[in-house]
Amino acid sequence: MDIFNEAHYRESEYNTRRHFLKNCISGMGALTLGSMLGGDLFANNLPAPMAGHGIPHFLPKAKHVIYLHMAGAPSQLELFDHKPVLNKLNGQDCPPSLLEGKRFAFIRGTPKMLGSQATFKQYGESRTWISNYLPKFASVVDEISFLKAVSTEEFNHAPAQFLMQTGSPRQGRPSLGSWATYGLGSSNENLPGFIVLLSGGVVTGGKRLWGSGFLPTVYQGVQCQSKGPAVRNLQNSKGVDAKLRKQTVDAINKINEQEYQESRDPEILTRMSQYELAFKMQTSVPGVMSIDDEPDYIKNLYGVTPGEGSFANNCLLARRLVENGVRFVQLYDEGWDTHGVGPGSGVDVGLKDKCSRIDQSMTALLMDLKQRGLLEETLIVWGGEFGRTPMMEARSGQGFFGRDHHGEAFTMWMAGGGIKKGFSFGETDEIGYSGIRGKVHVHDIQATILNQLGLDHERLTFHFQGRDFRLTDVSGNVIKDILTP
Amino acid sequence: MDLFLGRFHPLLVHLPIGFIVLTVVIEIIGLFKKDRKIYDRVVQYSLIAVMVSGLITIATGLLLSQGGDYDADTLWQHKWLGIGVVVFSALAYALKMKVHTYNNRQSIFISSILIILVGLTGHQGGVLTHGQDYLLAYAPNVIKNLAGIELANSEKGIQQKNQNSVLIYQDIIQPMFVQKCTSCHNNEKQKGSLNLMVYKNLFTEAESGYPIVKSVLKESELFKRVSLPLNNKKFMPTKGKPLSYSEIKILEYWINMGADSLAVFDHKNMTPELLQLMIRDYNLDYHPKPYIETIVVEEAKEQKVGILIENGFSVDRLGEDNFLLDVRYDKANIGGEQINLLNEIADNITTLNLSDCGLTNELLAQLPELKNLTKIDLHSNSISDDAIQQLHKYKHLEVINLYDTEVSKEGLKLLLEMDSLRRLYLWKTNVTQDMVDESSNTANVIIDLGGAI
Repeated sequence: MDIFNEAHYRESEYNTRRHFLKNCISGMGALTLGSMLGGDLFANNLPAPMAGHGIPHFLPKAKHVIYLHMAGAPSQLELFDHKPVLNKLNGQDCPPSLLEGKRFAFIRGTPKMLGSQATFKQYGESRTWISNYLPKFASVVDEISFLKAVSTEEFNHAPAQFLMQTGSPRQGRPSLGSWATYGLGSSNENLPGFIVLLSGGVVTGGKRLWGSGFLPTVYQGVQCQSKGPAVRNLQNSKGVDAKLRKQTVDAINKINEQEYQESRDPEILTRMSQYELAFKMQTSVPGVMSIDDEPDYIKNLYGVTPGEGSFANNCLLARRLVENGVRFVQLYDEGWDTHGVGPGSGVDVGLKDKCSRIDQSMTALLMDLKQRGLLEETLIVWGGEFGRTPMMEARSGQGFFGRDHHGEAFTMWMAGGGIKKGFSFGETDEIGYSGIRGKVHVHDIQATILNQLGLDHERLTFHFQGRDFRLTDVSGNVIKDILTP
Repeated sequence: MDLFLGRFHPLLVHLPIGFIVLTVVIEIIGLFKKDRKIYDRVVQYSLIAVMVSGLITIATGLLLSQGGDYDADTLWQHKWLGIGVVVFSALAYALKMKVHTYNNRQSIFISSILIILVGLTGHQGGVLTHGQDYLLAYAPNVIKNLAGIELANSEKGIQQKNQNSVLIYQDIIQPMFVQKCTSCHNNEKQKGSLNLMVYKNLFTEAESGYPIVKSVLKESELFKRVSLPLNNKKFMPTKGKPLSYSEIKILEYWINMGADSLAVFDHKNMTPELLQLMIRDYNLDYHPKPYIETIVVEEAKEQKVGILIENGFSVDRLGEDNFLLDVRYDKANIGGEQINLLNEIADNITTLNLSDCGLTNELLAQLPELKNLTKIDLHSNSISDDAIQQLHKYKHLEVINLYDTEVSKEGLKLLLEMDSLRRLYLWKTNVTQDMVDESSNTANVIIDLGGAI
């Protein structure tokens, strides 16, 4: 966008609905003036998609992020938060003082306390407690910083996922990955800066979890699949070759360019760059997204099954994408919602089974990134949207060892790019109900992720509907305690 | 005994004040009454009460002044104002009794002067006990401005400064004294003959000893007093907020370092605890900075960066506050021509990625001097031990990634000779764990041979 267009655009930006209403107050004359001053009264106020690469606010510690979101919320009490006292209280009625004024998604009446179904041991030089559900992961704890007292206000999946990924429990805000690529741009011009990989089923929050909200749509997450074509609807149709496709894209963009000259809608610029990126992706994506040419020892390390949309495949893909300069790789693994509504859906069998499907591959991801020297420039984030209650849910009677949603305290971990190794921050009370030390909020996690990328979460803003928006809205503190000096 | 009686002065002082107020109130009420006789009588009695209680107050005040370390000027003013109040009330009484033409308008006038006199005396008394700025210490800034008080720098004052120029005494200790100590130890009033307003007085003997003995914490009476248990009767400050843990630790550090008025913090002799406290309470981070954060270079010319990008490089800025560059070669085959281009922006390059691009020993030898290079990624190239010597010219190189190359034992030896090296990636090379175990100089270097964490 040249300076004239920019000025023109800025001018029309001031003609939002708010200003329209203000103008109305000062009479019809002012209204006419308002429309004389610049373009469409209801102009969409998106600035131009950023040209080229963004510059971080300060020296980044990480270039890439791989966010492993365990959708459905795994139980911290069976994985990381060892609570011997809770085990002793197993089967006793939950004291009313814990329930007073609290709301749960499903628990009604007086639930019974539920001790951990896993057994814990200490591992590594950091003597970190890890359960027998994650035997392989236990060998890499000395690379990890655990956050033991994360809290969220939301206790239902979709809103909690939105809060975690977009900073607001209601949909429509740009996601973490969108903010990151908006701030920094993609470092590979042939690949999108923000790629999403799914496994285990459909995520409750849906596609809006990686939407770009009010940011230009170039920043939205591109969902890729490890099964079937990497990106849907990206292949040329029969009888169309690359040359013809290129001509088509060029022709469309020429028309778009003319349209832009008339309408000045910046979203057209976004669309144009999307067409070009899609064309480049037709050649770049199949290569990056194919794990077939990985050597067998790497496939075995991750435990991949080619041709499936498994978490293991996605972990390997995540490494390949990061290697190729993708800024933000977001994995969602659905199926962690252990309510215990029937046999095999509780924190005993169900959770253990689920853990066995991620244990090897997420451990392999850490090891593989490390031996390639990528772990020090890649931030890994692992967590659900909330935790699970220390009480048994027992929706359909006792016996299935279910736990309800619990936002007051749960465990997440980070590793790599500028994060302390073999460290644990925060502590919960004796039964793991709430944080008593080192409490952090979802917004603090988000602030920390941006911080590691060299972005100040308070400065990374976007002007929309008359005010500046940011990922962490009005809160969030960088969790300095887990950062290397 | 003198002091015992003297300390009743602050108690007794309220009696004459009360009577004076009573006198004026009665006088005003009397203005509106027809039969003034009874009011005049009450006024007379209360003036007598003012005189009697005033004399007692003066007596106790004189006794108290013997014992305290009060500022002489303020004390003089307070004393004579106090005596003035009693004399003035005697005058008022005499006028009332003896002068028949004395009407009640004049009487009100005299009483008002009396009230003003009492106010002034009281204020000076307050200054004596609580210090000069007691009254307006918490006044809104508007009022402070009106009163002509210079607004003190708030905590933010520290943050606005470059943290390396924060003076321990002037920016932290002196403001702390002012906040917590100088109401009793100031130029006007020196309890225990200690004055904390002036730097050099910290080292002059006071009643209980030397407040601060440079570099000798044990003999520094001031430090001893502020770090006693709270219930110890010698604990300071006796009133108001005690020193915070951080303040005590800073004081300790400062005294140990020689208590220089221009001393600054230096991470080399700070405890890890103090480093953390400074971050938590003052937002000052004195942890040693990695080399990369200390580099200052000028901006690379846009046109030069453009040439590199045209030739297959990606060039990223590493922050708005610096002009460091992260440079990566994106294409499959690099040649001498491309490598020479790096010369154009040599000083700005801090991280360089020439991985998997057909780099050879010969090409690596052409790599120019890059004085600010901290990290180089050369993985998946046919590079062998012969090329490693080339890396010795980079004096600040901390991270070298050589996985999937032909480096072996000799190369490892050369790599470990580099003092700046911190991390070394050697997965898929000819280097084995045995070779690493045999080498010396590995204390500061993390060597990753892959396969495990």
